[in-house]
Amino acid sequence: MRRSRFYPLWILIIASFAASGCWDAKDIDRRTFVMGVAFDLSDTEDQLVMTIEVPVLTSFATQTHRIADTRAFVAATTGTSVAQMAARIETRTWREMFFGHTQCIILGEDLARESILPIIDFFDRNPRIDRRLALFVAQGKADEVLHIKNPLQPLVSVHLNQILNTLTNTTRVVKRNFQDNLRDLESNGDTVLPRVRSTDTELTIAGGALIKDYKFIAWLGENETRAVAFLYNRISGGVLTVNLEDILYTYAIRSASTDIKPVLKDGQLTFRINVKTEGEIIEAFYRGPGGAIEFDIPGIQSKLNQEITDEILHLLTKLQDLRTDPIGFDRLVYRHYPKFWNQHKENWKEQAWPQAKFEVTADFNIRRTGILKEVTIYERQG
Amino acid sequence: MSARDKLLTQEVPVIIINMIYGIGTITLPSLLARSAGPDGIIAYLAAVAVYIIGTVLIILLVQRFPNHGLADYSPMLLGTVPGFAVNLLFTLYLIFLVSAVMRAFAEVTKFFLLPRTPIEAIMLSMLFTTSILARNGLQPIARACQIILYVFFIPFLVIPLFVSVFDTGEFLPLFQEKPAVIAKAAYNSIFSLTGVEIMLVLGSHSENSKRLMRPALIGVAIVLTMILIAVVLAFGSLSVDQTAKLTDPLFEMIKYVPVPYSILERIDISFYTVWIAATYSTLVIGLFTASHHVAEIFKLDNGKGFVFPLAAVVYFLALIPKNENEVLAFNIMLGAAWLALTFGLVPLLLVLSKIRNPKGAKKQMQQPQKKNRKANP
Amino acid sequence: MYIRLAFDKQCLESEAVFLKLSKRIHHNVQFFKQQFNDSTDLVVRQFSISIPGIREIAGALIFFEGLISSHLITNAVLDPILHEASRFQQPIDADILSFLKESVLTNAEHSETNDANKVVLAIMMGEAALLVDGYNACLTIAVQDWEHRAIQSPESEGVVRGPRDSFVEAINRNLMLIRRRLRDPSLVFERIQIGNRGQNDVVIAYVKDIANEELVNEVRKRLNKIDMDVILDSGYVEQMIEDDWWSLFNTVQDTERPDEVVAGLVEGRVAVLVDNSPFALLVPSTFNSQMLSPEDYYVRWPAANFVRLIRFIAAFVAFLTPSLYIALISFHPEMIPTQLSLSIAASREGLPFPSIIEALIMELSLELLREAGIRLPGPIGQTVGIVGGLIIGEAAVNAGIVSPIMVIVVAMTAIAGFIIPTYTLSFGVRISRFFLMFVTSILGLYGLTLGILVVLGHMATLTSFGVSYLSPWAPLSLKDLHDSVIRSPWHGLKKRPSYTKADDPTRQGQRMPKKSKKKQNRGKQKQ
Repeated sequence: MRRSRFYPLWILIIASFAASGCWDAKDIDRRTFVMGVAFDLSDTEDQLVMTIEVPVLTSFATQTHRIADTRAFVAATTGTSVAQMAARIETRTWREMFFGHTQCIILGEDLARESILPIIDFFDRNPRIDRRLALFVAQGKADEVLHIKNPLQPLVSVHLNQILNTLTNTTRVVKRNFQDNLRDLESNGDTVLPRVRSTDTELTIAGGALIKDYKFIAWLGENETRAVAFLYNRISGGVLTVNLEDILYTYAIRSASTDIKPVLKDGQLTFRINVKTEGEIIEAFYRGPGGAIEFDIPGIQSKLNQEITDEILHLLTKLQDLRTDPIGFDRLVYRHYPKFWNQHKENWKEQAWPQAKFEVTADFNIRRTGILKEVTIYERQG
Repeated sequence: MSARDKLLTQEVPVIIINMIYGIGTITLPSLLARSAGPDGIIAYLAAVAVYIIGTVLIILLVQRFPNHGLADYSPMLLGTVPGFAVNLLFTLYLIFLVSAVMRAFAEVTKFFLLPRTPIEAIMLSMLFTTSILARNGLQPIARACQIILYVFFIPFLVIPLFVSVFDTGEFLPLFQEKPAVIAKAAYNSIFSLTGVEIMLVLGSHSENSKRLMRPALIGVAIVLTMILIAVVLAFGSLSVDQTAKLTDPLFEMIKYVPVPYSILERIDISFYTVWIAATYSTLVIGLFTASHHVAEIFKLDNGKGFVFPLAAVVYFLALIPKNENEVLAFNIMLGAAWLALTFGLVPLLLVLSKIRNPKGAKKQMQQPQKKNRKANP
Repeated sequence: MYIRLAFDKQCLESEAVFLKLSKRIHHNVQFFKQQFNDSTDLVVRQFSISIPGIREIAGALIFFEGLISSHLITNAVLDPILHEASRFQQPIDADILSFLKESVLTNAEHSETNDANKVVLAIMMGEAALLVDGYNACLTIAVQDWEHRAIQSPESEGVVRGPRDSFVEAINRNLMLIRRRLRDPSLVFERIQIGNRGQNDVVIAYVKDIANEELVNEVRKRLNKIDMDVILDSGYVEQMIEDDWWSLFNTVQDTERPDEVVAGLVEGRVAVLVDNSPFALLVPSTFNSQMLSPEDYYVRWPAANFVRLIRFIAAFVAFLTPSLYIALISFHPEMIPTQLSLSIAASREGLPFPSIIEALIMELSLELLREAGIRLPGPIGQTVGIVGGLIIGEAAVNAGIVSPIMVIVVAMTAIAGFIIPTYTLSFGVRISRFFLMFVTSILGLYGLTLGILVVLGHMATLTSFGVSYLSPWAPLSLKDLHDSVIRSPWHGLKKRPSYTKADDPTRQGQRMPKKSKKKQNRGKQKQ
């Protein structure tokens, strides 16, 4: 047979491969799964502190094999670059650092104020990184976040990651992952990152950190964050409560979309922003004596529209004041008015952006009011 | 080559798709975005137009000599010495093309899959496995390519998932770059599309080599559409800025897309395997074509014996570039070579064949046969 | 003319030498005794035929005991010759031999010959040779009857729905099983003898107006090329006629089911049956055809499609799982979902061996168990399975030799391997699985892909009697796809598969498969 002569060659080549070793083989239990990384500024000049959260593998085994009860191990080291610190910390975990399952990166406030670039570059470059990981900014020190113990989810990093990737009903943070952030940052250096705060025993995940030119400049409150989420078109759910004539209505968003259109007229740049949501009333009760008990759907809708419009306008003014454009209005201008953009691209954030005007409209649609058709009444005593 | 070992008409597009689709597709979106921004799509379409014209020219030449490869008729049309030179250059071109693919493949594999494995091991294992199939003849290659072709379509199954992250705005604004910039981008991207020139050698081994235009154009159209979809998805889901920054936007965009109910967390790595198959088929066809061309130069029946020596040459050539930039420059040179081949040599041969025999190709078909007889008394 | 008593083996082998029998009976008897080296099972019954008033003629009956039915010998041969012959009045010069043949013997089949070689062969096949003094000819009487196994249900190709009979060792029974299903005069059995010493019966079966003539000729050609001592099983023939004997995959299909053979015959394939073998061969055979089970056609199409899908998935699982496990565990743990990767890492914590060794240990013990199970008699074999599967698996995990996930991987591989309907094909899959594990342990997912591509390239190179092994997927034949991973309802299977290049491509929608009529019809349609 014609192939027969080459079988020895085959064997030779495979044998030589086997003899020289399996260069990249490293079993799963010989790697340190870095689930979360926190970065802070060190007290020493130009030094960073890296804190990693590593699951204690034996605690994840089935009941019979479980040896350890502590589920997470936290270690820290100092250094000047991420890779350097990762290499240093390997001596403490005895296994090779593995970032393939990293769930979140937490940046300390001080560090973020200097620049986030040196940190994210390492992760942006690494092909093994899951680009859906969560990038948080911690109010205060970042390493404290990793030390919080939550009985429901022993790994803080997984907890943080799941909030961004699976929760649909919260608008406390903007649900955008690392990839989304990179997209913003690489376009103009501005973005909004979610904020995490640690008290003694608990985590508070709410609000956002405004990043301008890779530097943290200001915190955003919860309502501002919601406005940012609307502008990013990242609202998948959430609830809004409005008070109309002493009746508290809670509106649940079932779907939302935001449409932003730049309009250039006589050299004046205007952005037409239209927020459209659909949803239902999931709670409505009457508080205090007197007043209507029938639903006033148009009334509630206009009240909701008003609130959101105000929120968004408030946020946009703040962004203009801070000369920052995390939403990427510049990209819209570039797409639709390339000539205008070419004139202003050098000083977009400083001049053209603060002068832009906005027409914000909101269109809330209440489709249902739950099973009940009327507002629940309860008499307040006294 | 035995009478049975002929390319079926339905396998012509398969071979062409497998040859073109490969390493170039991975780097193309990034190349386009870097050199022309959102106008990269325009540049690509321009390149496609040029490419289709080139395909038509090549197939016209192939159809003019249905029973002979380039190696047979180029000495006849150009004279023995220039013809031999042309054949030699074409062989060199094929070898360089295969080496370029080999090197680029090894780079990406080393970077993404096997960072510590020596590049020699990656290249040797690939070259060896491809050589084995390349020795087995055209029919087995075509059949293997047919199966690999089904695998190509698997990545396209995830297109619906891109709806949630796709942003049509990324393609705006169009026509912002100067035509020269667009032309340059198109020129740079030609390397990613090279491949149809293998028909100069394989065309005569097709079942019906007089009617190749239709299957060849179908093949080219399918593969160019596949690449277009890939580029559009990369631009739309990653943004042009990011596409320009990344070395392999096609894998990155798959990383980003949320896959519901996925058993594997990171399907991007499983997509590498599709792409390994694509490179494998490119290398097999390239090696086979090169060896067969050499065999035809020396009027031999088949080029089996040349496969391993050529693979060895490819191995050493692929080791020459020192870094990624040199690889890129080398690739762009290959694109230029393709243009020279398609719009220089092929029309020249076409015109010569008309001048020397205005009545048609019938007599021409007989001439080289006479030559053959003289060569092998 | 007298025959040489020194009769050498070569003369028997070459048909060119024609040995005439002697007229003297004692010469003949001596010749045959010498021919069979006075073998103890050779019976030479000498008797005399007494025809009253004329004379007594010496006669002899030569046969092997055990190959013949003594009942038939007594009732159909000896009894009539010794008793009935005397009742007839015969003229002196009458031809006794033809008289015996025409009027005395009551047995169904016999023939007259004067070629000694033919007689030797006939005796070896279980016929009885009747010699009469004074005649240089001999009657060979078909009285074969030997012990054989009853028809039982198939062992390696069981079905839930469908016929339960399978081939046995006796070829005539097997032919009967086929003929009973296909009452078509065009069904042809061509019997030839292969094996220089064994002289074993091999039958080529095909339907004359369906099967492609070139294919039948090719089968004939390859069978005639076989030059072996003895054919003990169809496996001998299979290995001698296959296209590529280097390959891990078989390009000749074997089956013990008569219904599958008949289905193959009407598809235009050619069957080869070998005496003493309960397995028939079918050619051409592709990967696709080996992945199909006859049951697919007996159950309704939705169930058939479901089962086929499962089966093709199972083939991939059996082929890939262990190497995929190695690739994921040792090279690309980022592909495993985070929670799962944590628990896998936890279960592997403290294991002494790398994943490839772990996989090899478990796969090898699986193969050991499988072989042990086959060799041991029924009930004990099952015990081995249980002991191996449950106890050793559990113990290996507790002893910290392998991880629980590895046990799952091996179990899945084993179960999936059993779903592959053809036993020979599952061998190919099992062996190439080890090859894949090996390359994966060196080059990870890249190595795994290369390994798959090598196997694919190899399969693409394979042909079975000129038909691509990967047909109908490569080269793509849209017409044949309706009987591949999917099976369309019977109403859609109007054509035979095209890879057999059948002369008559239609199998439904015509009352009688008469070629001439159909051609006329076609002609009319064209006009």
